[in-house]
Amino acid sequence: MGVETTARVIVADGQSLVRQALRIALEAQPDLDVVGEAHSGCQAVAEASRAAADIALVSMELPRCDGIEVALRISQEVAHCQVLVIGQNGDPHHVLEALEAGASGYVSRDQPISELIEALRAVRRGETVLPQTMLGSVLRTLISRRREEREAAALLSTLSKREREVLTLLGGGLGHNEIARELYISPETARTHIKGILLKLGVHSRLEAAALARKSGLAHEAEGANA
Amino acid sequence: MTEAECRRPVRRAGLRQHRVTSGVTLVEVGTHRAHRLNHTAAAIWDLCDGSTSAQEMVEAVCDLSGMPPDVIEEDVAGILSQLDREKLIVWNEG
Repeated sequence: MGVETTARVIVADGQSLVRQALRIALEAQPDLDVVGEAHSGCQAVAEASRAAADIALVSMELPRCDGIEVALRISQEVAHCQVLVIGQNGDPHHVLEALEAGASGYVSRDQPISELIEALRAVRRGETVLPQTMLGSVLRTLISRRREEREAAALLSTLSKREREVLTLLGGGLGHNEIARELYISPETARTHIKGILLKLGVHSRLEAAALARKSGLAHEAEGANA
Repeated sequence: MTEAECRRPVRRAGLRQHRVTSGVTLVEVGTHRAHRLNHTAAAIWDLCDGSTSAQEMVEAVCDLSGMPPDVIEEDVAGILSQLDREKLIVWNEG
């Protein structure tokens, strides 16, 4: 007898017909057991926890909170449960967002059911799964994102320590008066710092500067420090 | 940056690409010689645009798969070397 146990799966999709079809297909497999169903994102998180699921098979287009948010919440709240997202083929950004949110894989609605079943098994083995045909576009998107991050980091390295502090607060949505209060400086000084930051970064608005900070990871550093 | 990191592979001109279930078939326009690439090799070949270095490819695959860099480096180098042997890519220096 093998050591591998049956994987407990929950199926989350907004359409009852899809859920039932998936249940029938998965329950025909000796190593997959459908232990719950959900018709919304919130219900998917609750079901994954209640049923002690090993894998949540989650539609990207769920009502209320989508597949990406479900992946994020399950990875935070139901630690032992892996998430496999089902979405429309073609958008590598969606795939990356799902993986970054904590999903272990992504399958396309265009794929045959046999590939979905294999994907569930691969996820159970701890592998990362995505449609083979999307590998190139996902890698290309990842590379281009990394380049943007490096360029943003290079630009941010031209800022002084104080300017980085101001930019971090700006990224958190604070105005110049709030930044001044936070850093014990005058609003005029805060405004001067902001002008200097925009000039050095070559951007025209606070919003663009904040977006650059996010790309470079500066905003995440701040979140981490504040946590 | 090392010399190896500066080298960037480029897809060779004169190849026609056909998507098949198992990956991609590349056909040389003049000779009709066919080369079959599996999905992983096809993805790496697709990244050979003359501006993406092998190092960037390795980093992206590591990010995606969560596999250690030394394993991925070996895999990517192996695929690029095979593409080079079959003259499906050329190299841009720096």
